[in-house]
Amino acid sequence: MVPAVIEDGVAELAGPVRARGSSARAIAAAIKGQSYELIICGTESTDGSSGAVPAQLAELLGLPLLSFAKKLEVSNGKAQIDRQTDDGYDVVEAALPAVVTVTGGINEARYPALRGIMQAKNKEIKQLGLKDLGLDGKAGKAALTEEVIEIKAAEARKAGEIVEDKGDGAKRVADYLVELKVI
Amino acid sequence: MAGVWVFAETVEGTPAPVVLELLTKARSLGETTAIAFGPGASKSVQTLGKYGAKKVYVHEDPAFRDILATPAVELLASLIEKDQPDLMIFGMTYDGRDVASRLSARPPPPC
Repeated sequence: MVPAVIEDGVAELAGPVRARGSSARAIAAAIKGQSYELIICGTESTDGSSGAVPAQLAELLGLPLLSFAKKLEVSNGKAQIDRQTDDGYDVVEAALPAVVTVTGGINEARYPALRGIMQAKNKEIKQLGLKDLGLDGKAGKAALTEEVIEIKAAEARKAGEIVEDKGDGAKRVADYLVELKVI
Repeated sequence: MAGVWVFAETVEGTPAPVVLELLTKARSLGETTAIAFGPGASKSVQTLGKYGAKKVYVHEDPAFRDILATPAVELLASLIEKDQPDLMIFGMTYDGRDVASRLSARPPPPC
């Protein structure tokens, strides 16, 4: 597969004004018709954290999704994962081709060899725009379904009040609870 | 608002804590329906009702427990087409996220 960068309109895809599933549709359109057995995604981006793209991609390509993989093994035309749950993990498998999302710590990154670094310089990188993907006017701003109105930092927790006991500690705590209408 | 649906994840008939929080929110928004899939789901009906569901859809097929997302997506898509709710709320759980995301890519837009 030729590495490709979807450049045109990328800001539109991920910007404050976007169309439902735009990023997934762009990726699906870029890889449709190519040969692949496994599509590996992270679980989510660290900004929006909606984590919707991999499942949307699986839906658009009609593929199974093995999500939240802590461990991934591929053999005999199947992918098997340890899927994170609240209590531990489930072992889940799917026939290839499939989409897999992996959680942090799935693997240690290896250091690239010098030969690989040199070869990377000569690799062809295809630059694709929305027009090349047949999505001109059908993704991003042109097909608006949602808009981010405001982004705010989460409110910090306020420091608690420390009541020093000078003999009247119990009363002051009780008064405080009465004030809160707890007692 | 006419119809607010809550995706009610249950384990052997016990609703996940987030489901009860969602129902509490949903009932303040409109007529609330809970959707409970998987073995034992019917045992959760009373609790879901207590927390605000006026109507509960139940399906107990083990496929909802044993196959990730897709059976729930198929059934939800047909229920949504039939009843046309205004809003559907999911917990941001491992399963809720997969189901909601797949559903949001439907119907597949031309690409």
